[in-house]
Amino acid sequence: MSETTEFQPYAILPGETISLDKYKNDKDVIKIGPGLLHEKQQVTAIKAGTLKNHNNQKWWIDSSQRRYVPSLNEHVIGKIIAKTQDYFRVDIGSAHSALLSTLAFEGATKRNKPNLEIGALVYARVSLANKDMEPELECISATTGKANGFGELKDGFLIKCSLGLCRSLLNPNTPILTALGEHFAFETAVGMNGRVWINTPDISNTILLSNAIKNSEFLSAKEIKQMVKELVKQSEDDMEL
Amino acid sequence: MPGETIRADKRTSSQIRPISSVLSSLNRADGSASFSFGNSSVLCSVYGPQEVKIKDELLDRATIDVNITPQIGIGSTTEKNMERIVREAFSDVIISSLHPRTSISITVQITQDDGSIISTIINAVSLALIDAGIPLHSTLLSVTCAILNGEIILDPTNEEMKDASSIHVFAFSNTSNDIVSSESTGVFTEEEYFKCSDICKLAVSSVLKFVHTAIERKLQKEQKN
Repeated sequence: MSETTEFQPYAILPGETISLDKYKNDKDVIKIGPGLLHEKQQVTAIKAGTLKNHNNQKWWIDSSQRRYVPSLNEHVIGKIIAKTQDYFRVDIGSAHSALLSTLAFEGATKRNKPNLEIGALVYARVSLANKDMEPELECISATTGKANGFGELKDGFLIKCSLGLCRSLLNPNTPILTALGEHFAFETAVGMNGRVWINTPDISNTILLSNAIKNSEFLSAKEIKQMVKELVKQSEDDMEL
Repeated sequence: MPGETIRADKRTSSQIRPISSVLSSLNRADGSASFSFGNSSVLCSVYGPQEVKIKDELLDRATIDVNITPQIGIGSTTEKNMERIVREAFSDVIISSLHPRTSISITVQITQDDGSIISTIINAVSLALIDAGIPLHSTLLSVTCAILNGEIILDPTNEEMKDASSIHVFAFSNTSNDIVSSESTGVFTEEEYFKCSDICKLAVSSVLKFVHTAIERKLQKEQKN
């Protein structure tokens, strides 16, 4: 095995090139991910963010933004904005609205189509993401063909946030949802497109939850715990009045 | 340096005014930034890639739309000219082929104009585009210089620009350090032009250092865990 240098993640600006040779072994296959572009025998950053890697083989730039750009197999929350016989038109926050076939639901047939109204929310998977085509969605799992939690999101409340916050909410140990879960029960669905659906039996908890999630973006785990504690106490005090 | 003239604001001829910037200052825009050189400051917001009007749609790339509003009133031909300079400079920097049939809309509000305003705008737009996560070939940064009484002065104020014999705006990319955009007004020799370009190239590297720190700060704030 040839010598490779230990890599430390660092901040990178668009236009900066990365010399991967320093970190890779001869037989390694390099895969580049979001924010990087292979051009003229060089790997260049096209976004600002933190350059990270996995086993010196997979490289990407970690950055947060507000606008969603669809990517294959990502889970998103969309709003139905129009419907025809064969498909629903769904707003997922990207430049173009997405198409969701009426047959892309578990158990759907030509005779038995799902009945979704305009304005309904759906949790779906991006099944086609090509810059030259309209994105397409499916409400069935790619492997099992079952619903697997996809489908209409009934009731609840939708909040919008940055894509970076959404990614951190998808972490099973995310401090904000863990901290909130200690105080009351709730249901969430997090889309990669900067949308979070929350559902609680109590409206006041919905308000608390949405405020807490929006506030948590730039707080540390310790600050989040403190903030949740204060919000819960405040809400309890309001109830007594 | 001895022998160098001290300007009205106590700068030397090769000194730029203090730089400051705020990233993501607007909470509804996809990306925003304010940038200032001393008393010249602008606020820039970027929306996109978003839906585009059918008449503006381009099948192979994004439509780049630039809007510049002056401090008072509505835009005149001066602003239209600045819009052209910014659009032409950034159309080569934004990788618009990655988002065909969309629009990237750049809006600039001049909040205070005390000279070198085009450079201030270009730097603010760069930061806002970075903040919005728009794919870019390079980071474009700009500095203005003027020739006043035969001496080249960096980052001139309005007062200095009034008396200058020529004014030069240069924008450089961080990849090759080549000129991406250059706008000159007034009478000057070829030799003076290249001298100005060399001086601005040096000055831009300090702006780049500043931008790097600004982005690092923003990333630190995001990755607190």
